[in-house]
Amino acid sequence: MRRETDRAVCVYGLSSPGLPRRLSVLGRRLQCLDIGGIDAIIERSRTPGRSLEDVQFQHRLVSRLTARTPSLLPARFGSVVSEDALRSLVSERHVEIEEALRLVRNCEQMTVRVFGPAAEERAIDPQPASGTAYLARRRERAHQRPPEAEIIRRELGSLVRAERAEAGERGLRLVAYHLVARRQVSRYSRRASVLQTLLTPYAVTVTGPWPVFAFAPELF
Amino acid sequence: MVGKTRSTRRKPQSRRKANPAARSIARVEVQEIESIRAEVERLARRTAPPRWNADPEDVRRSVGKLVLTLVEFIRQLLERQAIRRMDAGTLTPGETEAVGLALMQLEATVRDLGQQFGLSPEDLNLDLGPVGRLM
Amino acid sequence: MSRKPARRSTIPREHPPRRAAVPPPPRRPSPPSPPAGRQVARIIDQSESSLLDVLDNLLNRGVVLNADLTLALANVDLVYVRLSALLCAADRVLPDAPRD
Repeated sequence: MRRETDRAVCVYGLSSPGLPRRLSVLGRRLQCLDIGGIDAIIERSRTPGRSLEDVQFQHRLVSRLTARTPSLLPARFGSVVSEDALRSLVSERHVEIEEALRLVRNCEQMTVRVFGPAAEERAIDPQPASGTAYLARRRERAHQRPPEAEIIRRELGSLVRAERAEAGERGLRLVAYHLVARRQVSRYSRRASVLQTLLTPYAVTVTGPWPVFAFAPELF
Repeated sequence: MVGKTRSTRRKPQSRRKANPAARSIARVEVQEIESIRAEVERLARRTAPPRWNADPEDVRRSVGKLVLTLVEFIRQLLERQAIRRMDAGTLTPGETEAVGLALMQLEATVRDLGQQFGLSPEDLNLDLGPVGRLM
Repeated sequence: MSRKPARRSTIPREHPPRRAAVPPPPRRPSPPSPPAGRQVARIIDQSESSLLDVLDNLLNRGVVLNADLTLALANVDLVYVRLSALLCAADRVLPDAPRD
């Protein structure tokens, strides 16, 4: 006999408690499951599409959700899982999830990108001998921090509750995600306007505020 | 900095046993990466501009650029996932090798085809602006 | 499609970009304190959302909740959708392209 909770649900995010059990967002009927004091925002009976338009829609939907709860950890696109598995995972990792919900409370994400040629020219490097060596080198590279990271932190650090930063490639030198208290976003934006001057000749973009995608805990 | 800062490198905790679910992801990833590579090469055979045509307005170059840019984005995304799993200890040595090899080959294909289309690595940056401009 | 979109490029070419050092304004105004018992909904202007941010946020970030094929496939299906659309477009646009 197939139980209801074997069926797959689409998960949009994890929230601190307080949302109604049923809610309607952008015409979609969503439910909140209470899992040990963490709310999982789900949609039943829908196979998520996989087009770019679906991704865009989910971005809008998650943005609407952030207006309804002070703490929301958005789920990755395509998060389809059985209710049993969802409950099991959230229970198992509830400590990390609750810590993340506390961290992001009443915050937005601002994204800073610095564009320019990469520091090292990989074309000069010899071809790695194996897949493992290749991946190890890519991992080395991913953990590098170009000097712009320090400049950005000096300018904006006092307004940032947390930062996640990565070296980029293909013309992207650095991407930094900043967790900024909602009430500080205007001040952050004003102060961020000096970055372009400080980082010339590189081009800088600052986008947001977004839901706090980059501050969701990494559970795998 | 008010709060804590950390790079996205995660300190490895006690290494988790690579579970069957993770193994199947690695296998699927390798298959998918190779499928992407085959698709891209097939597209390139059909649309590669003649080498003497250096016209940057050539629509074939635009089509190739868009495809390669999307593939490059996916490649980076899959690479990031693989690195995360390496850090978390959920890839076996065999899986690490297989995924690493597939990604290395995909990167080479994108680079070579980019050159064929007359595109620099920087041209493959996904900065397409509002979606309305994609097509 | 044959013309590069007329918007500011964020990739520096030979010379540094010469534009005002002002970042884009926040995408939404800060919401006012809601009256007791009511939440203020946010409006996102669709046309302002950068595709790069949307894809990076939803495909590259966010909580990973499932550990099965759907996740891996969700990421790559986008390429297949666009590839097949583009191949059709290429067919229409390039009638003389050699077939396999």
